[in-house]
Amino acid sequence: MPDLAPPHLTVQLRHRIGALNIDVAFQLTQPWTILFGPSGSGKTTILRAIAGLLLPGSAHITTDQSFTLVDTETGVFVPPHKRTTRLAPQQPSLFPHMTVRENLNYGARSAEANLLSDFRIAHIADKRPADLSGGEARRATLARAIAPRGCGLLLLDEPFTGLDLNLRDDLIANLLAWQQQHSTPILSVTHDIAEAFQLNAEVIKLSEGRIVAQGPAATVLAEERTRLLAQLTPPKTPT
Amino acid sequence: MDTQALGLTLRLALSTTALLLLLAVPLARWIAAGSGPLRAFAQAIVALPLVLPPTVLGFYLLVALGPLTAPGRLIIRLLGHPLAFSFSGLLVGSVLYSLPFAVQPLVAGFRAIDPALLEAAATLGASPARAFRTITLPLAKPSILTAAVLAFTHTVGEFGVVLMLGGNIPGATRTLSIALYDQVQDFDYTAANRTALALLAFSLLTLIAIYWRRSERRSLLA
Repeated sequence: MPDLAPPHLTVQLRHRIGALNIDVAFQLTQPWTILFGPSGSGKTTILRAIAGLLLPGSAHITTDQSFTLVDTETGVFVPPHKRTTRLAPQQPSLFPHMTVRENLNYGARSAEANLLSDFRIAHIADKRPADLSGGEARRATLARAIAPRGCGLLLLDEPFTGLDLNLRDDLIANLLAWQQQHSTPILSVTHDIAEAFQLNAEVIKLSEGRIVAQGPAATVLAEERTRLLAQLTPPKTPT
Repeated sequence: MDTQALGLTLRLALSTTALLLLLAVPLARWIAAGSGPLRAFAQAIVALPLVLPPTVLGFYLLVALGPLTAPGRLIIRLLGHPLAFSFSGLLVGSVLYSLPFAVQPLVAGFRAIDPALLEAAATLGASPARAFRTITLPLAKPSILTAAVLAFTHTVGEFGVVLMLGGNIPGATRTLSIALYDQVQDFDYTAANRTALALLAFSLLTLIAIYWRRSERRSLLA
């Protein structure tokens, strides 16, 4: 009966950024939802608006308890540090003057120990960000985002882009396990079709700031899947 | 050497640096946080002592702090004496005169901090005050140190403002640079030599310390 539960988040957003006009309205009802679209379609801006990192031109965003995060009509704007949304940005933004462990403890008074092992960063817990590889920094940024307790919604901006497939599978498994334990909805951003299918998530397909489709990956991304498979099939050699 | 002048100079430079940091850190943070005509105006005012003859600043302060203006009269009523020709007056002049030397490195330091770090702190639940204390200040530490050293050394070396505003009262307003001027006027070249050498050595050593620290940090990062 998941359809009877109130949506995790209801978003109405109109915002202009550069030449892009974003105009979207959607609800998050599934445990994992993906914003899918090419670069420049407004995915990151939508995440930032939900996290409270930008003041939208016009917006109404409410959580499952009908708690209003933003309402430009009545002038409500909850600042980012008072929201329970946690955002892992695409660029690792670890605090350079703190160790990995201190980074993880920044939002949580003491992060769970298994977080370090789950994200395979236990061996670098006492290193500074400058000494990490790109993949290690990404993992630490993800772990830091979920370290604080009481996360109401996890926002992931291209969390697996540029990571090798084994590591991606690992991270997805860890995030799913964490999600089951805490029953926290996740909204992630990607332009990777394989990722959308692998997560078997609800997909919101964006194009130039508009939603063109919303539904299960298999339905919404059928066309992209066919095209991708055609590209992967070797061309027939003439006999 | 005039040890009284030396003690007074150090006391003035220390008090000026402490006051300046209290004033310059919030001011620089505000300037670094955005743009617009108001901030441009503030920056121009802050930078004025760089291009203005110190005597001009000294003259205006002398007039402003004296009995001719309302704030000057208020100060006289509160303190019982005018700020001019006193240590406190000198302190006011020094703070204004060294303001750009403290504010400019701080603005550069605050601007160099990646805004994504402060956003990350906010999404982790840190209030702006906590983010400033735990992210901005530690990351700007080298700039704060540079600002403090420059403000200190610049105050030790000031002359025009002190002479206009403070005069030459031993123990109250007679700093080393004034003492040096006096010694030359008295043809006491031996004493002048010692004072000049002390000022030169002090400035040179401080600058070496700053540049050494910078190169060390760079080689650590490499």
